[in-house]
Amino acid sequence: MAGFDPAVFIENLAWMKPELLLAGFGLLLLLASATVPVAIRQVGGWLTLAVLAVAAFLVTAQLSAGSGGTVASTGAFPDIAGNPAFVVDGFAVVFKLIFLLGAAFTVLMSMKYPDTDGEDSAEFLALVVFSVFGMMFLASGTGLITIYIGLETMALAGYLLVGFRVQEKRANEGAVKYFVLGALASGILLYGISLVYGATGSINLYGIAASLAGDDSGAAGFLGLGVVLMLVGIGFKVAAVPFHMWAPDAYEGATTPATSFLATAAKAGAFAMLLRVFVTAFGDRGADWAPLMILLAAASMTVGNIAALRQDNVKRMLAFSSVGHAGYVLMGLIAVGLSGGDAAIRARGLLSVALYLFIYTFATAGAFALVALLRKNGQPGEMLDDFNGLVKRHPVASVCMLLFLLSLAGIPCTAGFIGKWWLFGAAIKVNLVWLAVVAVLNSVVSLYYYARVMVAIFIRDGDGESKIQVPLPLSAAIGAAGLFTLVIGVYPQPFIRLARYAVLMMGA
Amino acid sequence: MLTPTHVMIFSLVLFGVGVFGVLTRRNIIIVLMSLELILNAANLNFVAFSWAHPSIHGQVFALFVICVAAGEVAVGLAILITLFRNRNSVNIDEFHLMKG
Repeated sequence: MAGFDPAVFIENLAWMKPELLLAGFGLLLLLASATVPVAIRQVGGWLTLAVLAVAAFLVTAQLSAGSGGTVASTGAFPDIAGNPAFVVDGFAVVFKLIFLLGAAFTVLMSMKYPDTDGEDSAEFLALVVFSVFGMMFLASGTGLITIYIGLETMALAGYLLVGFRVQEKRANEGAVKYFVLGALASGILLYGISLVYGATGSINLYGIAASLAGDDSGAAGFLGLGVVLMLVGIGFKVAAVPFHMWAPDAYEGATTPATSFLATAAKAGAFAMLLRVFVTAFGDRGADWAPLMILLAAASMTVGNIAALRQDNVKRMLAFSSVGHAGYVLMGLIAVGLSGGDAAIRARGLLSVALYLFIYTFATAGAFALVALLRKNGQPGEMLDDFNGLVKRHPVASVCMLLFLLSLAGIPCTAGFIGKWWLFGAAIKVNLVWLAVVAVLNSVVSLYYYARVMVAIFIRDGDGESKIQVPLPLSAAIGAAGLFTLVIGVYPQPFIRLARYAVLMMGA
Repeated sequence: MLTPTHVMIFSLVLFGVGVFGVLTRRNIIIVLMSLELILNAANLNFVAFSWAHPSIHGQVFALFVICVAAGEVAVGLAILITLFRNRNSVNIDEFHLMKG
């Protein structure tokens, strides 16, 4: 048991620069919301974007700080048993960039309607910043205390973001449902952690892995039940079937920027936790947990996509579609679990998850930006009919929406195709051809409901023919998302190189 | 003589009561109370295993969980109050504005 050394502590703290920056800025925003006049507060969104950009720069710098950019550098906070509880490796860096990207899109969208819902208020921005702060601890945490605190920080801010419109009844309702099921999931996860602690005597992922490598007799019952409960808890957080019931209501009730945040950053955060826990702690037992994941993946794809078919509310449709996408992403983790020590397959699984989450973030955030665009005078523009004749009202945005939908469906020449190519290929590498076939069939199903939106935009006639004025932040969001969706579709190599860093997981 | 096993059995019962309460009760206040039971069941487990092993980690974890539980209930009650102001009810059956 190491004693406390202030010099080492400060040296370690340097690895937390991005997190410390976000925490400090979040507190500043809260202070500003109480003291700074409204007129000056309008710059809050741009300021937040700048801070997110600086955080992204600091995160990227950690990647190359170590060994010339080829191997991810690692910083480690030892816990009381001497195991690292917080590591900075390639995996953490890639996921942190995904979180920051999702948060940046949310902030851009929130700057659209300052007068109606107060989404530009400093409180809203502070909650986004705090939530990202929690996610970063999910990506870097390797001690279960660190992971649990990170999860709760992310989730508590998320509940408040959903319920942010306190006057709106649907927001209240979505927030209560999200809170009750989210807290239940955290509780089940925590009980699972306690059982795993009982079976292995460690609350550190490396400690658990070392204990499991030692013997596989002992408290196997505790361990099995604990792992299953942890999977249930995290399954809620990634909205995998059958733990997805909260997602449609929370997505519909929340303001569109907050919905986008839940669908992109919060989902990536939950996946970061899922990967870190199951690969680092239980990686050697992959063959045992992979069958459960296969069930979750197949059920999520099928139920999510079929339920999305009959939705007339685009936000709700995208919620079910995001449940389906969680199923696709799980295939990458399954490949890691079944790799059986084959480094190439393991790398392919990790790479494809990170790559797909990047691609999915661009397309999903872009689609929600379109929903935010259609809102005016406090009236939500989230129904399918609101998209009627959009091509005449704003041709460029319509083409971008077409790109996002094609990318989500996985049509070639868009980013989504590249992502699905890697993910489905990972499943085939571990001889799960049937799962890949199910995924392809589900992609075909999903094309039907995405096409409904395309038909509304390009073929149906709308009643109002007036052009839409797009505010600068929102057009920046739509433009950036559209550009990346197209560029990754035809020239994915730089992004694949970036996602390859996710393979570098410390000590696993 | 009280042993860690007794504490674990008690914790399992508490966990069951908590999950059952969350899933069946209609009053959200009672649902919140059941959520607290789940967290405390986990805490008991941590302390019991900490005693059985023996190691200090479980007790440290329990302390952190107590802090987080306080934050969680604060957020939960805040959300509940906004709901009650608009709907004058805390009965979960009455909240079905969104469907599908």
